Amino acid sequence: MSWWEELSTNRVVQQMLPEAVVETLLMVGVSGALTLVLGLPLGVLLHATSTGGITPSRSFNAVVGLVANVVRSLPFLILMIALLPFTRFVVGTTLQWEAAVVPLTVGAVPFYARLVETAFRDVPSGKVEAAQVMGATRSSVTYHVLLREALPALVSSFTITLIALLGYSAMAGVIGAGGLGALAISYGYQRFDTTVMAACVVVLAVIVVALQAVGDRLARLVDHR
Amino acid sequence: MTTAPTDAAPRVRVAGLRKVYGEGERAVVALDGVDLEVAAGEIHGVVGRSGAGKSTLIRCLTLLERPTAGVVEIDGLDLASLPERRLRTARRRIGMVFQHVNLLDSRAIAGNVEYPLQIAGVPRRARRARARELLDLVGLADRADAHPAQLSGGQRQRVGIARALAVDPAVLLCDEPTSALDGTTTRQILALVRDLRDQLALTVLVITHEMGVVREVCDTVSLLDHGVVAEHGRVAEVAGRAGSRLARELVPVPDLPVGDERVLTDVVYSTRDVATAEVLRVIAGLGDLAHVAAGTIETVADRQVGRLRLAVAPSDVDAVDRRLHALGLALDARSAHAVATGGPTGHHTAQDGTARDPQLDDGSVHDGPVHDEEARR
Repeated sequence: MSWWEELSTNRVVQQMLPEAVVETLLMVGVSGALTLVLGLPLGVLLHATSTGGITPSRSFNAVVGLVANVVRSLPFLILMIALLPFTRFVVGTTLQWEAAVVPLTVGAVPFYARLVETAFRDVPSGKVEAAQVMGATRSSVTYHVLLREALPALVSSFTITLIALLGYSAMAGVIGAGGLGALAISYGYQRFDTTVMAACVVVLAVIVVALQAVGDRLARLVDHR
Repeated sequence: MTTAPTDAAPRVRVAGLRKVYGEGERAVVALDGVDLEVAAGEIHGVVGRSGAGKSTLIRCLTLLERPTAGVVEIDGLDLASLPERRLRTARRRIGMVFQHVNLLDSRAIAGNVEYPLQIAGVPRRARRARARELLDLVGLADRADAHPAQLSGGQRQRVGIARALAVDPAVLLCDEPTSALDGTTTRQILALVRDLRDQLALTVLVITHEMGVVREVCDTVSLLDHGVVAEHGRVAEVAGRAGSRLARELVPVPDLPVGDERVLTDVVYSTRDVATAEVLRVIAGLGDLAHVAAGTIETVADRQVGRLRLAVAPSDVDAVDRRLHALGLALDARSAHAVATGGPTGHHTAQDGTARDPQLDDGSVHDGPVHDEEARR
């Protein structure tokens, strides 16, 4: 049998792969959106309160920075298990893709926030000072200078975050979240179904390549340098 | 801002300005009591070498840096005394031009010029119209929709100037506006600044390390050294001033090897007082007492200023000095090489004696010419 016949006659691939793809995309999509909504403001806050930021506050920055670092230091598998009670409280269950969104978001928010902070730090300080000399308020400096000037970097960072989320979502499959990770583990690995394994790997690779291509395209589109 | 100053009052007034970084033994005194006044409608240059305190001065003028002590008054308003919110409003009366322009890459040219107006809360349509008007003023009306990256350095600085003028400031501060530009572009930008001053009755303060900028556009000049104003005056007058360090830098003469037993000493004159031909005739009349070893004639503030370097035997210096006195000229004893002639001491001698910070002290009295200035012509 050729690989194509193999693929088209494999019942697991036929019946379960499409659903797994949808679950993976939902996990990554929803947690990605939440990460953007929560991580961007957190990054703004981290930068603003740092020394040299627009409202320096050493204590606030230290506390938030420490929390972000602790969350980022935990291996995702452990974070996921540690968060199980919290997940049950928020979603009402610890199974299905909906439940995976919670640890995925918690893990990705500090990651993206740090990338946002770095992107802001790379905006030349002269641009911020020019705005300040013009009498700009803090919110105008943040929005019109920092956010807008860092936009290409923010887009690229978000692409990186989404791809990291995709990797983590496969791990979430281990504790019952569904998606491509769960399919690859329970059928490809535990039942020695190489076809399922190969199909999952290929689909994941295609998603990563597509995400990166779209991300790069968008970053170029907003970059006027 | 409520009471506009009368025209007689200086538009920029700095008094006893001090800025100290750090504390205790590690404190660095960047500004040590700067006094400065710029009258309405004047272009004032602040020159000095790296570390003299120029950058700190301009940062204190815009309150990007809080002065340790002293008064910073722009357009009659003491900025240092204002709380943050009123400072923001007050800053909108200042236009500032930066060395690296600092345009926003995320906006087109017109958008960059509109930004200060947006900050000031001007409605969109009025902003648009004003930006067009300003870009027209700086000769870039056709590039309104281009992005900063598509412009040359000189064009970018024009945009920077248009942006600085957007809010109709009374005072324009320029921080090394041409230091990143080539000679021709520098002259174009300076000509633009002068035209705008004439058209808009602006008061301009230019911080620069290029004496060419002072020669071309400034009416008055201050030399900043070790955090104090070491010398100041009208450019036309200072350039012909004997014993002046500013004069030596404004009209530089190339360095010469000291040959025989002679001393090299300078005579400076301004053609307002005496014609070059007459000075040369007198020197020729000195015969063997002195001959011209080198010389420069510069146009400074629309007037010719000459500096002739004479080779004189040490014993004849006094005699030469007397003969030149008849013309109302004096030897610039400070620039004498090889033998100290014991002339009147200049400011910098006193400065060197009180040097505080070795980092700020370049240790040179600077008798030689500014070579890159020479090369640019």
